Amino acid sequence: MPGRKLNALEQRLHQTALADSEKTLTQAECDALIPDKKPRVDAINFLLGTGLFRAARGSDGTLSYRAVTKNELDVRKDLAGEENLVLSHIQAAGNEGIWTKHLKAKTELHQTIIDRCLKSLVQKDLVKGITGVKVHPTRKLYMLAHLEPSVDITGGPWYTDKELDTEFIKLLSSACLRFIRDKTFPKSNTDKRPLYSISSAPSYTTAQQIQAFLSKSKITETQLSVEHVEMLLNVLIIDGEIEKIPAFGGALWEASAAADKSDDEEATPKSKRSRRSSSVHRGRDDDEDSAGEGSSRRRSRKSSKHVGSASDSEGHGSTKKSPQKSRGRGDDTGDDEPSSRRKSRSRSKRGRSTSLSSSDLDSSPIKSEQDSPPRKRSRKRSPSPQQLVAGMSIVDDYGGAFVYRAIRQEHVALGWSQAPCGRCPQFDFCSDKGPVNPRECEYYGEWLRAGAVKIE
Amino acid sequence: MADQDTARLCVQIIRSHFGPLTATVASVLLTRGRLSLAQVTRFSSLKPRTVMASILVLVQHNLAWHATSDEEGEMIEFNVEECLTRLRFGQFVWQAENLFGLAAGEIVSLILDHGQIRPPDVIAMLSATKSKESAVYSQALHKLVTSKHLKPATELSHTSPRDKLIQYEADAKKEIKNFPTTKELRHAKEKAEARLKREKEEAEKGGFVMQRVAEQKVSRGVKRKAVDEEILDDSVYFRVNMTKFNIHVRNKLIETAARERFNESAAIVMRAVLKATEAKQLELSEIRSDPISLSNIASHISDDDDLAGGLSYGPNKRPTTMALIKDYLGLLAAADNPTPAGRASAFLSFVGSTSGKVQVEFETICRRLRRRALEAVARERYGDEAVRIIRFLLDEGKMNAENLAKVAMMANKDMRPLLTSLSADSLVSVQEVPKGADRNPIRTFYIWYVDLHKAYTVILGNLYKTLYNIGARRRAEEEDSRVKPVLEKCERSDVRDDASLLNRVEREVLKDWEDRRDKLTILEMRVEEAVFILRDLGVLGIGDE
Repeated sequence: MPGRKLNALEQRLHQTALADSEKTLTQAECDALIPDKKPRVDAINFLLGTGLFRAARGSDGTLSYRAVTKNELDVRKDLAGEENLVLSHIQAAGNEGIWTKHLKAKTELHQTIIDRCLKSLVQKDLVKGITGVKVHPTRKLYMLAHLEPSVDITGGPWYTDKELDTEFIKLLSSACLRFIRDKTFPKSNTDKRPLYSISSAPSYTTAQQIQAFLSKSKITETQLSVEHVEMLLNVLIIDGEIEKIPAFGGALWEASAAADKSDDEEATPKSKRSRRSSSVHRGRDDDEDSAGEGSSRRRSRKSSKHVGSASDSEGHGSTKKSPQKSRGRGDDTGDDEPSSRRKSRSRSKRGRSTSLSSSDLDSSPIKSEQDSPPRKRSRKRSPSPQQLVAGMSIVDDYGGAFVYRAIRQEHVALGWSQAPCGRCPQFDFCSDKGPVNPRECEYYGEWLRAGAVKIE
Repeated sequence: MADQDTARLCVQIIRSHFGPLTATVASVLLTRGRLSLAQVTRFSSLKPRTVMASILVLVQHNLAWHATSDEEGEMIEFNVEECLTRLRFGQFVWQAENLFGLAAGEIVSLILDHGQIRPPDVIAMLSATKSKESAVYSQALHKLVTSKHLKPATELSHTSPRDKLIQYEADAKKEIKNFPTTKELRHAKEKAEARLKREKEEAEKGGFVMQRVAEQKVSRGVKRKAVDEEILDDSVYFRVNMTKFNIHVRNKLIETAARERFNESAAIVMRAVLKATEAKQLELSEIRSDPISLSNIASHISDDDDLAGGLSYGPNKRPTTMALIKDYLGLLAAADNPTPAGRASAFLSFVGSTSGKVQVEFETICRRLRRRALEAVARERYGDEAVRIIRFLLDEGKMNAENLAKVAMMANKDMRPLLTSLSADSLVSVQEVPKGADRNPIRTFYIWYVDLHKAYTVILGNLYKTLYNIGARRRAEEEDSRVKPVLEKCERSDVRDDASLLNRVEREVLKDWEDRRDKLTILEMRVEEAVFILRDLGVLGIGDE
């Protein structure tokens, strides 16, 4: 290594490279930094020679240089060649760590040599060994000593001492549940279990609010992100304790209530109008959805005046209007199709226009009559892709907001669990003529006696 | 033919209702499938006369089907479903009493005792023992028939529907010219089913209310309804329409579910909706009820019902009853949750947004109730984690254990034994996907899923076994060496008239036995309710699950 210090140009190159997030400079960036060719090449060559720069070739063939700090250089000076090789691979793995098997494959060194290298590196406090929990719990991974293992390896906040901390999870989810329940159910001291009606419902909690509550409530020191909270909430949903509803759901209901009122006032002229306009548009709707959508949007703007609700009037206007549109069409074709009407509240406009054009207009009345029950059912359970897309676009309009609401579970009173047979360990073994039989069953005897005590 | 547990249960029911001889015949039919009369005689080793009498009883109660085929001659087959419904008879009588009064209850009870019976016989038998109240009974009878709680017994109900189905399917297949495609075969099957159903409806309608006979009878002054001159046909045998009674059971379950999911007031509204559509509910297999308007629902809610208590409004808002009902309907229809999950948890749905009419989503509700029963079994045996697993698998389809552990936030080591024990009970099933051709278990993906059909079948089998156990235990208690002599003494006519002939010990023994009997019978009824949820509500969409 040449003994001189770095000159100004070299210093500048090195500093710029270190300042970069990747600690690398591409050839083009070097060209921009030092326009003159000769000093540039000299400076790069010197840096490469001292080991402060390392040349690398990117995937697209461009040349780039990676800067090495002086400390790193000092450490490496004492290392043997093999140790250096091992260290560089460990370094490259970043905070993901590298498994010894992979290390062996990459360095192509013998196992004993690798073991020796790793031992000396660990002694020098350069690397540390860790074991992951999430993906490969048995693998011994190595990474640089000063790095924190990544979330992929530790498993995030749910793991304590490499074990899934179920108690912690239970604690947090019960806290979430309590918080959501407080917001969902009205406070009352009667035993009537009152609920909020949809129109007078409070604003339910979002995942962000729950996260804020958890971090404020001092239940845990661990910082949880919104994603972590959503994981908890998903489990609660599956447990049947809460449900996830779109934030605009209540508004839909109010809009329909408002629609009822305005319809009472002027039901006849409006439906006439819609029928006329739909018959005008019908021919085009068959092959071109956008026309139908456009018309419904145009009309919805008109109707939004009647509703007079604020920001979200357009969406509701169209949902409220379009059933009339569908009815008008049904009359025109002479095809009485109740199924298209009955879903109309929740259906979004794009889903409607496609379903109408595909089913109602194409098929003959007899065929659609026959087909209707299974179609209704399938639609009920899984909405078509178009509907999903349309639904998502609505969600996007509302800022992707879902809110969470606590529900009371409906349990089926299973008589079986009251019978001794429900949890009988010998149930499969029990038979009429066997040693375990219902006539002399001790569990039944116990059950009959226990009940008698209760009644007294 | 039925599996062992079901067969044992059926034999037990027959024994307690008809005695040991009939039970022997039933047992032969259940274990050996359909047989001719000669074969039944041989296998049961009873006298031909006895066998014939037993078969006659079974036929009278619709427990045995005839099937006449060219190659075999007349065969007899056991009707398992009808037999299992006999456990519900007490409930049917109770319902009839509640709905139409004491007289109707007595009529239903009488008809259930006799299987099928003609109207004059009903009146004669009931008014012979009681005072001359034949008018009351005939009125009740008429009410029961018009509300379809009784239906005429037809020739069709004695022939095995499966034979007919096979025959009709063969007929339909004959019409196919070329090699049949799967679609055509399916179509043929549907056609045969539709034909059978049509035939059944036709037959039951035909004997229902005879206009022609009515005109004859007018002169004799037995007219019951002056307006449309409808009168019961005296020559028609009536039997109890179990479907109609089952509908009441179902509606009660739905109401209870609404009460648990929301609150008492919501259950009142739910009950009103069900009541308003009840007259038109004829089959359990209806997907949804007829649409019904808000005012119609309101007319089924009495003023005493407290609706306001169940909803919380602002302090100074006093909504009208109509507004309250509408809000409840909104809740029941999950109107603020237009996601698929929301619709799957709804009780009602709105017919269009402008008409304001609602209909009950029977299919959605029944599907949900069955799932809840499955979850209840899982919870009972393996705790809440098992329910979580089953729900995840039902929502997401198939999954391997690691992914399942991740989303359910459970440790892998807890998940594995749980899955294994769940699969031992058939609550979940496993699909093996070998990575290589050698089928090495180490190199195999194990993907878990819930086979609902299998799970329900296994649970149902367990429930039948439990019902049998309860019945067997009850009989064992009855035949206990202490109880038996007391019961025999009670049967004596002098003791029946004068209970004081029993001494203190005997009375205690009797009371003790009655307690035990009541307890076991109540337990039987509750287990039967679970059977109802799993079997009778399962007529909807078994195939697509």
